[in-house]
Amino acid sequence: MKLKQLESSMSSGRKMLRLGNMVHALVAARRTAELPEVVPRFCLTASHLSRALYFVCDAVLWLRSVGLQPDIDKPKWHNWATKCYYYSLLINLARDWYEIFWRLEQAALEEKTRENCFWQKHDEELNGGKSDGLHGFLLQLFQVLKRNPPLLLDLVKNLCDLSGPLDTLGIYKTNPGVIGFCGILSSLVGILTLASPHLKLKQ
Amino acid sequence: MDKETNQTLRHRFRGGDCGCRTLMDSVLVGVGGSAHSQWERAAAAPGSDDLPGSGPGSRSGPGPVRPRLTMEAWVRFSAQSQARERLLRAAQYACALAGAALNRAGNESGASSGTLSRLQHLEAHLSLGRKLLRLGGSAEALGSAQRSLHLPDPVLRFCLTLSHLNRALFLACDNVLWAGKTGILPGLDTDKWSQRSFRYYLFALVVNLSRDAYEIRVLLERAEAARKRGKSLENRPQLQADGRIQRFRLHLQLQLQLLLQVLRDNPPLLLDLLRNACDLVIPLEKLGLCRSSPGFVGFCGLTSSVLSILTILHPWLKLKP
Repeated sequence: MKLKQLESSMSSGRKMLRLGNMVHALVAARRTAELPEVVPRFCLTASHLSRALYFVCDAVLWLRSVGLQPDIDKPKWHNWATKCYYYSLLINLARDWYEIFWRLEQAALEEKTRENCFWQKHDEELNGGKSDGLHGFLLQLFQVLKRNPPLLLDLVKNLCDLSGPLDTLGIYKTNPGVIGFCGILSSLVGILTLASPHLKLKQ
Repeated sequence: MDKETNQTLRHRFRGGDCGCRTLMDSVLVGVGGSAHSQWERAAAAPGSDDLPGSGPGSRSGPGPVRPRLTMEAWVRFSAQSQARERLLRAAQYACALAGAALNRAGNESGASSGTLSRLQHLEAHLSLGRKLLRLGGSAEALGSAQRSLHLPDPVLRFCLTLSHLNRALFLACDNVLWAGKTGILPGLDTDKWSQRSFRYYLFALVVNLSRDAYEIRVLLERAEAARKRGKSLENRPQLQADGRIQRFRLHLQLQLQLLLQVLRDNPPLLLDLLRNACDLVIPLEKLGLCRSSPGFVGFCGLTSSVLSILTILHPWLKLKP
């Protein structure tokens, strides 16, 4: 009971702090609209716009919780807010996936050139070391993520964040414990990227 | 300051928050009216990167640039948690002020009490939210106290360290109060803790005010010395000719003039003094040391918040150290 009260108070306090963030998201969207590459440009801009919409819904919910506009349909707005947040996360994940894919491709290309160079010398060795499809792919994925901690952190954060809206929207029901754990993990990752900016994924 | 620089300065400041713009203009007019080349230079040269709206596009004229500028200025402004806290504080005291005004109007005409309760609810909400934002603030205050221990001037060192220590205690009490209000510590005597926190706040403000008084005295002495050096022979005979009371009045008048001059030449000091004086009303009222109307408290809180927002927007207006 006590914790419930604390949670609701914290939540409304955070909503209040987020009041002006809509502008932040819009500015970020405008900045990312000038990125050179097509896929990150589209993904990031769409994600930021969706996030801006989420902040709008959030502000409306705050107005209701404070009692300024008591006649607002709370479930509807809550649903909208969660949906916007969900889409923004999905787009972020797509972007992460694109980055991973791009890196995987590059790694494969590198390997191929190396293979061509030392074709004669390491022929047998390479044939022996090459494992079957899925396993090799996972291994390579692991390698790529290990080499790019910012990408890994961003992926983890987005995946963790995803558990909340998935549950609220009823797409995939989990228990509150999992959601709480994911929230803590994502917040910790967020704090980590704030504390050491080199771990933040660049646009 | 000539009209043109005034114009450009205003143009530069245009990026500020919408609510502060009119006030900023009036301050600029006040500052610009009396030729303060040092402050103008300070505003124009080194800190200009900190000023909102002084980015690359700030001189490219009005029109479509305007919303972009305001948005970016807002982003830069609200990225600081202190700025957000101050904005929320301004909102809180604006609520208090509006509530008091509504209360008075309601007493006369029997207006709706729904809006009033809504405002009070919002005010309580803002207050609690600010407490959340201030969690852990005492560590920062202790850090500032430690830093101010190394100041060369003994009076400043003493005042600032004491003030920061008091602020740290105030914030610690405030955090306890937050825990009590959110229900972590249900058996907490909130009244006692709020009295305690306001007492520390009052101490900190009194120390801050005495620091301001000290700065003013130093500046007054300096100005007096400069004036004596300037016209040592002109006023002497006149002063001696008049009677004792007359002389005393003249002396007082001169002191007052000098004081006004000093304050006008140091906008940071003036702002700090005003802010502390406005803040002083709040703990005095809450501790029951001086009874004033809630409307007045709201007004003072709002003024002090707007002034501190101004110092955040224009760091050169902040009293150093």
